[in-house]
Amino acid sequence: MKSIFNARDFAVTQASVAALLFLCIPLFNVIGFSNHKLEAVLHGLGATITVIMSCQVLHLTYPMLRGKKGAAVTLEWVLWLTNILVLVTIIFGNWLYIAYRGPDGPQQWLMYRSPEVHLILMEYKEFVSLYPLPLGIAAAVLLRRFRHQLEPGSAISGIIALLITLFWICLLVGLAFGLGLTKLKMV
Amino acid sequence: MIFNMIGREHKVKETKQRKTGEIAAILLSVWLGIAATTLTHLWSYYNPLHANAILLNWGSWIPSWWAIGPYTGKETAGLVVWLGTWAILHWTLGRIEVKLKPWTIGFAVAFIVNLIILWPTVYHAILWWPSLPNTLPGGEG
Repeated sequence: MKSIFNARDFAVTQASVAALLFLCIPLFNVIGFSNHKLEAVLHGLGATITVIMSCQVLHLTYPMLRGKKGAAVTLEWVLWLTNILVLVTIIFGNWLYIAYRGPDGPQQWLMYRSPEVHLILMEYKEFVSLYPLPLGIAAAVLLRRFRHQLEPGSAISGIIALLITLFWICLLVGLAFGLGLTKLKMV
Repeated sequence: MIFNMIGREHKVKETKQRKTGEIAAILLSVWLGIAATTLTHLWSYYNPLHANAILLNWGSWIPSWWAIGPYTGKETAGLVVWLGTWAILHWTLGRIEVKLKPWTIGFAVAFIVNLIILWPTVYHAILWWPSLPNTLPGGEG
């Protein structure tokens, strides 16, 4: 008997379960202790969905690099969608930052108890998390304007993959540092 | 007939051939925008009394800028430098052919250098650490 599942079924199962469970992490805050639930949950959900999407974007660069027909088109529209999510999450992040640095907020609390958390982790994260916006838009614009010159092994497809890799790294810095910060002190 | 069509299609593709300078313009403007946020951040640590007032002014187009703080000015500086230099470089550098290898390596190295300088223990070691609230007799820092 042949297997009733193929490789695609397993990959889709893994992606769906990972997405569902990762989305639970910010959603747990709905029944949590945050004083600013709306901003916190929206920023957390935005960041989680963005990172999940950016993983798909990074995976879509591989067929693009191999020059598979139609791969660049798929990559481009998924990347534009992720770019919109990046912008929305940055806006939610700015909104949440008000509560973070407000009177008796986590910034003050951390500066008195463990200044490193604010001075090192937060100060780094808030800037690195902005980088995916120009990186992602740069890669998407290059994909659009140079779509007729994308050949396997070409410099331009390599540059697009480099930009997307840096885009993904910076997003993951934002997610890992953000998750770590909320573990130490909730906004 | 068919040959004619292929010829025409080839011509269309040829006119759409973009200059490699456009790619260099994109890489440079992205890095300059990123460097602008880093520089304004270091400036606000180096000279907070002077810098933060100006940064707040720059950021005052963002709703609730007064509560988000000088960060809005740093974001604005990055956005304006990125988009501004992109527009200028697209119409200048974007019209010529450049060698992509040095631009790619240069961008990757400069990006990593920025990530290292931005790590707070690095720039605080070069500048100084801010006074901490619980190390001063009066409390506030």
